[in-house]
Parts: sequence; C-alpha cells; structure tokens
Amino acid sequence: MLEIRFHGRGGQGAVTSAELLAEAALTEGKHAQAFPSFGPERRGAPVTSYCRIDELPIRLRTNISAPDIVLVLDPSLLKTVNVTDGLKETGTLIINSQKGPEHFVHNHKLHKIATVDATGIALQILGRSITNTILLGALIRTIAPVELSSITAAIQKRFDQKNAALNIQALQQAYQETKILNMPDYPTQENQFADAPAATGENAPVQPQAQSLWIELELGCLITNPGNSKTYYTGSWRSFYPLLNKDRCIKCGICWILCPDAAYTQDTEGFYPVDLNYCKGCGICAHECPTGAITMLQEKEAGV
Amino acid sequence: MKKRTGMEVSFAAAEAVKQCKVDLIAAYPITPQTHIVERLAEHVANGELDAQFIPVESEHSALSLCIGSQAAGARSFTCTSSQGLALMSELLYITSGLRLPLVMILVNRSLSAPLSIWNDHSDVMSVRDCGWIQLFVRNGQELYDHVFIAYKLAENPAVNMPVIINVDGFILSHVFEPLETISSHEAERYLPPYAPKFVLHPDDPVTIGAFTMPSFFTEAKKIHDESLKASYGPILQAFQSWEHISGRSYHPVEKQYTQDAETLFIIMGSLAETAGEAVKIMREQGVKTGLLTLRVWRPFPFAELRRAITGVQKLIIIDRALSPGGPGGPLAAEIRAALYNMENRPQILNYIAGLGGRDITIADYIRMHNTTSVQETGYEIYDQKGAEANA
Repeated sequence: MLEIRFHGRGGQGAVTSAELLAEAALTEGKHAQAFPSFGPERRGAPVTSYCRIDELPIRLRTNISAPDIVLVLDPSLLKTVNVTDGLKETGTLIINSQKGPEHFVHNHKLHKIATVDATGIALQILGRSITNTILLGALIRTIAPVELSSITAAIQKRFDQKNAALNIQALQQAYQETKILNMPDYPTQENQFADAPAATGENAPVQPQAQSLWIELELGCLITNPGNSKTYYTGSWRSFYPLLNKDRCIKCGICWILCPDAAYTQDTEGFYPVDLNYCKGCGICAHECPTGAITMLQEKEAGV
Repeated sequence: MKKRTGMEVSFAAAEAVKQCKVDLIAAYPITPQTHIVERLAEHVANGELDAQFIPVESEHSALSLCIGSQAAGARSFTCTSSQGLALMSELLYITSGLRLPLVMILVNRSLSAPLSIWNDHSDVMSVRDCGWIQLFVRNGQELYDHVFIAYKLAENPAVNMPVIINVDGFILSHVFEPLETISSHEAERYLPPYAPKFVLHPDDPVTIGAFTMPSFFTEAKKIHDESLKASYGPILQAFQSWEHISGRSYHPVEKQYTQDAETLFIIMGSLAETAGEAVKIMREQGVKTGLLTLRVWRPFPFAELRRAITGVQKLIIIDRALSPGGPGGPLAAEIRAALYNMENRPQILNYIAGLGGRDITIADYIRMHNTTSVQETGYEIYDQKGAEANA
C-alpha cells in the first residue's frame, strides 16, 4: 500500500488533490481512498489530507502517521508544521519551493526530495495561488504512483472545461520544471547546511502528553485566561500580505470591519494599518476595498 | 418527635427550594410538575422568596437560562417532566459538562406516544447518560430533605455537579401527607451561601463552553467520569450531615428485611413503599424475602449493591421503563452488568411494570415473587390482567 500525506493551507486545495489522486488510481483499476483531517475551518490554517493507493481493497480508517510520500503545498508550512513527521526512510518529500531540493536535506535518510515553484506556476497560469494540481505534476514526475494521463482524466472529470485546461497546463509545466534529488546519490557529509523542517518555535502545534492530562483540566474545561487567541499568531499562515496605498485610502474602515482576524486597527491619522502578526493573508480587505487602495503582494520565501 | 405538618408533596418541595434561598427559578409548565413551580411563583410574588422568577417559552429556554444564571454565580432551580425533559436534553449534557451545580426536580412522567400524563421512569431513563448526579426519592419527606441535600452536594467544591431529584408524578407529587420541616436557622446552618470558584463577570473574565479538539475531548470526558464517580464520598457526607440536622439517615442503597434473605426485590422511587409492605406481609408468612431501593442512580453504587446481594439466590428487579427491542429495563440491565463478574451471582427476574401510571398492588408483588418463570428473554412486561386471569 502506498500512503501519501498532503500538507496545505485552508483554501489551497489539499483535500481536492488527495481526491484527484485517488480518482486517478481508481481509473487505473486500483483501490484508493482520500480523506481530510478536519480542524478549525479557517482559510489559511494548516490542514492535512491523505490518500491511500493499493491493489487490494483498503479497510483502514486511521490517519496516515508513517507516509511513503509527503507533499507540502505551501513553503511557509515548513516553519510551523513538522511535515516529515513519521515519513518513512524510503520515503519521498515533495515541496512547493523556489529553492532546489538540496536545501531540504536534513539528518534523516530519504529516497527522494523534489521541489517545484508551484506558487509561481499557479500565479502565472491560474492567476491565484492554488497549488494542489501543480504539486500532483511534481509527484508524477518524481515517483509516479499513477500515470500522468490518469491524473489529467481525473482533472477533466472534476473541473469545468476551462479550469480543467488551465489546471492541466499548470500540472504539465510543473512536471517539466520539477527538480529531483536522488538521496542515495547525495554525499552524506554535505547534509549539514540544510533548512531542517522543524516545529520547535512558539507557533509549533501543541502535542499534548497522553498520560494524566485530564487531571490538569480546569473545572468544566473552563478557560481562565480568556482572549488568549491574542497569543496565537495567525500571521505565520500568510503567503500574501496587504499593502496599503494611503493616497487612495478614504478611511472608510471596510477593511477593519471585514478582517476575519481583527488584524486592522485605526491609527491617530485615521488610517487602518494592518498588524502582520495576525494578518493571515486571506485578501478579503483587498477584495472589498472600495477604492482599490489595498494590493496583495506575495511573501518572499525564507532564504530566497 | 418533631412536629409534623400535612402538606401536598409538591408544596413541600417548593418550601424546601424556598428555604434553600435560590436566586433564580426558570421553568415552563408541564403536568405533573406544575404545583411545585406555581407554589414557587407565589412565594416570589408575595415576597417570601427573594428570587428572579422567569417564565420562559420552553423547557429548552428554562435550562438554557439556568445554565447562564448558574455560571453567573446565582443559585438556580428548574423543574420539569416527560416531554419537557426531552426538550431539555441537549442542555442537560451542557450543564454537566460545564460542571454547573444546578438542581432540578424531575417529576417523573412517561414519554409520549401514546400521550400519557401519568407516572413511570421513561423520561429520566432517556437521559441516563447526561452526566448529572441522579437521585430517587420514595416519599414526601425524602423529597423535602433531598432538595437541601442536592444543593449541599452539587455546590460542594469537591463535586460541582448538577443534580436531578426524581419524584414520581401524581402518585407521589400530588399526595397530601405529613412531614417534618426544618427551621430557616437549620437550613442556613446546613446550606451555606453559594460561593463558586469561577463566575462570569466582566471584572474577572473567564471563558466557559469553549470548543475542544480531539486531543483534549477524551480527557474532558475522563475527568467528568472520574468526578462523578468521586462524588460518592461527598454524597455519603451530605447524607451524614443531613442526619445531624434532621435525625433522618439516608444511604445510596436502602435495605429492608435483607437479613438472611433468599430473594430480593429491587425497585426505585415511590413504588418501593408498596413493595416494602408486600415484603413485610411475605416475611410474616415465613418467606425469606427482602427489598433494595437504589436512592443513588448516578453515580451507580456498584460496591454497595454487590455487598447487599451477597448470598441472595434470586433478584426480582422491577423497572419503570422499557428499552424496546433491547435487554428489558435499564435498572435490570445495569444490575446484571454490575454483577456479571461475581461468583455465585443470583438468578435475575426483570419485570417492566407500572408503565404510564398502571397501578401495582401488594398482590402483584407477591405474584411476581411466587412465579416459576425463568424469563427466557431476560424480562417480562408485567400484565396484571393476564396474571389475574391465569391465577
């Protein structure tokens, strides 16, 4: 059985890409399943989805904790999520990044590491940073759990004609541009300069200790420090940031009203500067601004 | 002997709630709960009780309101029956999950359909797993007493759980009978003012009722279960301190004629009183039978029950509710589970009886005892008319 885990952000299509891969496997007569891991439903929040492919019927109803393949749809996830958690030593890591795969080598053995600038391709062809089908192109190029033609068939079945054509074009470009590192060929002494994916910062997801945690819960699971979401910096979710052009701003406050994370506050001059600790880059402000004073710009990938 | 006063049991309950100085009462009228709530409304209206009385548009709202008021630090009370409890059901789980020490009197009435206003235990058994402490009383005195006991217990910082007091509708709630009351001074001595650890207040805010991820939900249920089980000790303490005030002693499992008994009846609620009379008659005839009554249904009194049935050959468990297509009655099903690992466990007969107000007489108990049935299906819906015809 082949087990594949997708790491994305809410709205990037991680669930769809798992389903497209399963659909492609089904068209080849294989057995497959795809499923999401649901958490708080928020655009930009780290999300996980899973796909299993096998020659035999699949009877598992558990999350994938030791995947054969991990796909990372957004490079910013590397800072906050331990994407390689449980990844098999014979496994493959595929990352949306402008950097080459050698930047992601770290201390454990892997079969292959691959990168592709999926965000760049998505913006160029689709006009928005939905990277799911593009990463599938990189997957087919790297390890080919299904045929390219099966994936394109699945895309044609899923999307309308225009969107299917654009997604297939993006997927094929990713297939061409994917950079692959075969780890057995890679000299081990050069491993030390890698950007090790890790989740040790303060934004790392809390891993509760299993034993006796219940004893520590407050009466009725009551929270004694309300408003503690202030310490939850959703700014780390951001792939795009809003830039305000003060010459066009009429101080109407629409951005302040509609921001789902209350990242806008009014300053003494009456403008609404954004707090990038909380802005998750959803772009609602830019979309709704009546004078077009806000533009969404792509965040630079760390180290590029 | 203290002075006894004759009063309707519902009014005795209202008197006790008044003496507990509740801050808020929210309820919606439903038969047969009405006399309790109407009397409390009078107490508030004529100034005898300084409380908010809030008539609401449904039982769902009644319990919602009590959750809010209890969270804000107000000692609250509600009361319902049957369909009213069913309408409250989602909020029952919220009240206990939030560990709010509310007290509710449930005047037991059967659930529709067919529509019936009369007594059985199908209402409370439908919310068996709602996570409240659940008590049953046999007479008016016990109901009066258990209102104080329930608040004492619920608000004990080591407990912090809501309590349901079950009282049989009409057959007990509407009976006029004598009982002893305590003075307001004694009431104050037994039940100190409500002093919760946390209250909803803008000056010192807390979050109550937040969402929980899978990584914590199991722990939340674990602590609820452990806390409910651990309330057993405080229940015994509350009974003991009540005995100091009133001279009346209560136990999680009440026993009558259990010495050297070969058979035991087990029943909950007011019908235990008739069953006790039947047992007395049978004892006079030399039949070695006895009676157990579960006063405490949650937390289930496993250890005390096992001790009480040791050496007994046969249990006759009378359920006032039915699990259709299931294992019979909930009381018998739980007792079977509790005794399963015992060596020499007794034979069990389970009668589903007294549904929707059907009267059960002394003759019926004697008939149940003398049957030679082995109940292949594990239970029998007791049918007096058929039993009489076959006699």
